[in-house]
Amino acid sequence: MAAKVVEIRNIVEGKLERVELSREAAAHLISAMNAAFAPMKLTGQ
Amino acid sequence: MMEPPDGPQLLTLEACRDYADDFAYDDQQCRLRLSQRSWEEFDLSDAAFLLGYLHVVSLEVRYSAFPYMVEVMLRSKDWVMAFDDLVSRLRDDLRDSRIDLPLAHRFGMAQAVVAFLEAASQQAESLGIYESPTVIARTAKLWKGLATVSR
Repeated sequence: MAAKVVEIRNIVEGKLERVELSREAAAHLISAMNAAFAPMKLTGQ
Repeated sequence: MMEPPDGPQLLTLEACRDYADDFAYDDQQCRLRLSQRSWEEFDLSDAAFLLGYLHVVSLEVRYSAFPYMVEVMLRSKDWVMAFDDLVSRLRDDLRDSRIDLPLAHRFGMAQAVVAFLEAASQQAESLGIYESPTVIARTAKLWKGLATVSR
């Protein structure tokens, strides 16, 4: 997956930190988390 | 020369009001963002946003967005304060019995959280963050316990 940059707020300093999502994350971990927590997912707006 | 305080330093009413106002503003910002996004189009940018507002996000919203937050954390090149905040909340949710996960899915959820925490711990160490793995290990122990009793 291509690198993506997101902004995460630092609540103590009140500033936005730009974070690059370019690290290799185990796909099975991500999909296991999605499957396990699917029943918790809110729907609608 | 300043006199040492005699007795505990109490927050004034004005100071308390300031804190309340801060949280009210954060709550407003969070609601504004959520009102402009649907869960169907929810993505990693939304998850990153929510990571900065964990103190005002409800448990329902947090666990709904949880897999996305996990993905942001595991794919991040850096370690930011919000990641420690997320781990602390995972710990406190179980320790303080704030959540009651659906029984049929509890084992799978606990197993997934433990696997995530183990990966997060390795990630923190690889980034030279040496305080976080202690809290992560404590949190993983609690969730492992949940997995054991849910089996």
